[in-house]
Amino acid sequence: MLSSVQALGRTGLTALGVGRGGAADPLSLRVGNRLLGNEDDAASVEMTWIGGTFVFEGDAWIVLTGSEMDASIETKSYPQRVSVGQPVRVQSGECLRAGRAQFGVRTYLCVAGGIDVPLVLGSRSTQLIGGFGGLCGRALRDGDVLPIGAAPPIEPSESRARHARALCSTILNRRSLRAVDGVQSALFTQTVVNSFWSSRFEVSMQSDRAGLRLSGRIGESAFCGRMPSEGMMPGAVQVPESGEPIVLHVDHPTTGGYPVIACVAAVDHAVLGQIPPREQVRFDRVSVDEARALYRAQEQALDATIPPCSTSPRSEA
Amino acid sequence: MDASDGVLRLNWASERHLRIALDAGVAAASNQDIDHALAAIERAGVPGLLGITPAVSTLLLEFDIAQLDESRAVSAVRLALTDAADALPHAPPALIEIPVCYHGELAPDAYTVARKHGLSKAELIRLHSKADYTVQFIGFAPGFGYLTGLPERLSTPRLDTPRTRVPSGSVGIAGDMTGVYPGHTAGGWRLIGRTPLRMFDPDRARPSLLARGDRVRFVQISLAEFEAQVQEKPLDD
Repeated sequence: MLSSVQALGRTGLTALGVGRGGAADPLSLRVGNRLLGNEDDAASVEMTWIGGTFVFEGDAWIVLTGSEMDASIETKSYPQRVSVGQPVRVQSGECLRAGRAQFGVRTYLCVAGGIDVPLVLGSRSTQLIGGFGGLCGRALRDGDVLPIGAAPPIEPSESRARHARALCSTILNRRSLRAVDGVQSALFTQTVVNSFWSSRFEVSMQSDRAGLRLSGRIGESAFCGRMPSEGMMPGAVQVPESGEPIVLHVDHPTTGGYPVIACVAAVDHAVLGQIPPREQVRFDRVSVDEARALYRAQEQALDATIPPCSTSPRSEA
Repeated sequence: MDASDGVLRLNWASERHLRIALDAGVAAASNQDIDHALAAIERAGVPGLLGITPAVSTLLLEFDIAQLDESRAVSAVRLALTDAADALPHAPPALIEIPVCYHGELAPDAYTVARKHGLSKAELIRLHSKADYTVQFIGFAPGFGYLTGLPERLSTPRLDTPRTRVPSGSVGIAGDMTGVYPGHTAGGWRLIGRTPLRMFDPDRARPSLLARGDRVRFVQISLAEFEAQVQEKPLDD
């Protein structure tokens, strides 16, 4: 269970040991922001498994995206159920009770105006390894106060909300991860490689923002030794001594010495943030060109159905 | 695509990451070629390049996939590499002195490491602090530098069971390397001391104290000096 302030993460800092970080399911974050007229990179609260109770001081438009959560607004009269993809106006003094994630792993509480914590190294995302960014560089606790930025005008749209729900549902339901051959794939035997692409793996309870640990060995001698450490990226599938693959995720260490057999395509990175433990996944081999085409097609579809907000700067509160 | 550029090989490691590595088939290739390649690419201004992760004998280039024209990116990188032999890093390596207290609870594994090598703790301290180290690269966590130059007599395997939380500034040894933990991580290295310095501070102009290629020396300080110099803010704000 982990709630933290997350935006889209940081780039260009890996030489300092600072990885991308940011939302584990960045697509759901962006969708929520677009529904509220925020920029894609506006900060939200990323909730893992269990939400929390949020009391609003001041009116606000909010939306939940990612995994459906047992959530409702406590109004003066009756609790008002909050579903994924449906922007809701919360009045001053009301509170949002967010309970358990229903199907996936993470739910994003997006607020019009974004969570207005200071930028650190160019982002509002919490870097838990390193302890900076977000709110004081740590997970949220009882009593924390989250400032909200100036809200852009919102034009609720039923069709955009519908597309948002459909997209979140697609992310939550996907169990086959498209991936390209890894840099060290030639170091593995053909038997091990074939086994990797044809096996089903179970996501283990030891999975977290740094990576998904998979149960299911891909061969007796799958491990082909440590190599000199080199730069790693989200989606890289490492094979350690156990022979059980690890899929690196947003908070992964920037370098690593385990051989990489595959790399999950960017089109499916959001899925990595939503597969619960005990679920099974498999890998679908694609070429690098196909991976690019898939990503671009996904972006085009997103822009066509849930357009980004205007990029003109708005005044900060 | 798997292209060779003299001593270097270029591969797409993902749809947006281009990996540059020493060509294993070229005997003359050395880690210096990676240093030159890094300097050349940094100063060339390759369109769409978001960042570079340098390691021992590789560079990993990350591109903005929204802007990426893959063949133009590769051409731009290869053009930059043609000048690599003359390229110097934009900042010369610095000499960084790191004060370390090797006392008591700040050095929980010091006795074990000393005993493993038939040394007294004083001899361990002398060997560790007299050596000249070089930052091979930064990785694992913000500001964590892998340092080469550890005296052979101190080479020690990692802990069987890593600690779940390593205090900020802990100085560790694993294999033939030494390094300083910035904090907020687990760690399997043997801890032989602690520095009062903040290895990573995002608000500094130079957030990471150490950079690739820097020279490092450890300077022994007393517990009193350590307590006076501690810069780390408490973990719980």
